[in-house]
Amino acid sequence: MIEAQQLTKWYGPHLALDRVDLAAPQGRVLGFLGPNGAGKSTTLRILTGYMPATSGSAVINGHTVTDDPFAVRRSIGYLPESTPLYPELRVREQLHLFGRFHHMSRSDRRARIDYLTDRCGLDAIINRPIGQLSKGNKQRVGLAQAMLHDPPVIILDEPTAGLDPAQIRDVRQLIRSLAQKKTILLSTHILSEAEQTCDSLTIINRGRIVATGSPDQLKRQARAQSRIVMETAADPQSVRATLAALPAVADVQHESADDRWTTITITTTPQAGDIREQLAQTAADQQWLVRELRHEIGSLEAYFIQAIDGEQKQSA
Amino acid sequence: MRNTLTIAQRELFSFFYSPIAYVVIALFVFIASSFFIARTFSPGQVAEMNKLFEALIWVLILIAPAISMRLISEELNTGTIESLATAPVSDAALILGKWLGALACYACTLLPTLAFCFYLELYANPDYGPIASGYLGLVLVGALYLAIGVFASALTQNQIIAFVTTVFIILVFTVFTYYMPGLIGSADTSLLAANISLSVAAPLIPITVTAVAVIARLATASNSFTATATIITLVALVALWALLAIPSAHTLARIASYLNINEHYYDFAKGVIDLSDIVFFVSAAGLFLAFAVVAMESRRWR
Repeated sequence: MIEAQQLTKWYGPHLALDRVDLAAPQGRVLGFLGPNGAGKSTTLRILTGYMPATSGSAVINGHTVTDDPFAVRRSIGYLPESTPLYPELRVREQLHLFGRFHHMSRSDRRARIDYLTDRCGLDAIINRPIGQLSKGNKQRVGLAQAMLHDPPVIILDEPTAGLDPAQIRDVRQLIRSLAQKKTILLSTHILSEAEQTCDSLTIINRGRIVATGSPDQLKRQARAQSRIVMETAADPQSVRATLAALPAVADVQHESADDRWTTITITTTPQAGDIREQLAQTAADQQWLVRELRHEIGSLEAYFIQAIDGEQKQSA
Repeated sequence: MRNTLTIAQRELFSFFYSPIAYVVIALFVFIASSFFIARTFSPGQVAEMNKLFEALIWVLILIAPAISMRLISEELNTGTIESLATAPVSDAALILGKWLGALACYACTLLPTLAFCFYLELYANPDYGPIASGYLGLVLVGALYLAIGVFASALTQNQIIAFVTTVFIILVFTVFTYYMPGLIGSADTSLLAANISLSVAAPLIPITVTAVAVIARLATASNSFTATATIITLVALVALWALLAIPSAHTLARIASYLNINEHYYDFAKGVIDLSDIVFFVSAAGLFLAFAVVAMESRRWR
């Protein structure tokens, strides 16, 4: 279980986190989504106790981060952003080293490393020096290290960075298979990734939480403000005037596609949804020549960009 | 404790993985051998190694920082500190483990010089007592230098800055404390001595304060911390200066010579094991290790 309340972090005069709330119950994968520099890593570092928040509190697995840092360190597996590993050690030695820090017995370590070698696909590299490994392989070693002591809470900072599509799929399956028993918090800036892996998402931008919900909820919100694109040969000004008068239409924009055709973009009101039938009827009544009528379904990406743009406009 | 030994063990392993190890060992053995041949190993000489030891003590000023500079700076630079600091390893265990590991590396550097005993044994009957005490002294001096090195390494992610800072601190406790009593002692009347000690010590205050400010700013990147550290240092130094300069210049001279590392070492080289010397080295090393723990903790809380 992860619970953070009102986390605020100042770096000198720069406000990196502004009253961030996070909640991840057990058995869930929480995705922490945001553009680069939004404050994702800062938040994760505060949760793991690597650095303190200026104010606010965080509780991991029932332990307050600032009061009981060692209990927190024992209950988390953490993959930092840059996947720091000792280049001079072999993969097996690196895992044994951190197993020893967690006071695992030699036989425990061996059993666990054998298991993780299998789960994380380390068979081919387990005896190789880490300095020789590719980014993707290092990432897998880092993941194995985060799961080494079988912690109840796993915190992963960009776990799929540097992986190829096949490896990303493997990591996603690994995370999903762990999800029932653990609390997993992962940060990413790749939306499709978050959508497929996570049970709930928190979107952060410029140190502030801008949206929270399941991927479906967020998509529904995105869809609510959908757009309809129409290509017509009719006079753009009269089309705009006619359409703007419709109650379901919030905004109409146009740009000419070529000499004859014009692309009209119609933003509907949040309640209206898909109004293509109504538009087709209007076009027929007005005798407009129409060659395309398309409903642009709001994607999570659209919502993400919209949420972040909205935030930026507000603060500007 | 278990974590301390784990860290020490890995440090020793990593030392021999890095090229620094071989440069350090080769350099040390070469210099030691040169001194041994030039000053000890010749016909008519007494079969003892104290001249060698007195020379080696100066070589350590460069050897120890070369071993210690990467200890924590490298972890800070590559980011591995983030994994360590979020694993259940305390800062004290980390610092102690790093220091013990460095001490083991240093012991490996000293080891080849034991061959000199073999050469002396071949041609003469050396007295092993002073040789043993000389080595004990070398280990104690090395332990103190490495503790200073761990502290400097915890301040910065730049290994070169760590090296230079270590050498600087060591020079303060060897060269500076050696010349200062001489300057003060040359005055006859206590009034004149007091004036000289005032004038000798006064320029040290801005120098030290500037050094503290620069190191604090480099290490913390925090203006408020730098300001606080600088002001505290300034006030402490002025207070100390006034305290020392007013009563007697000879007090200052005595303190300086007490703080001189070489003074404590020469007894060992001569074959005298004085408990007060051992207390000096152990407590000074402990102090710098404590500073290093504080430096690590301050890194976490900013």
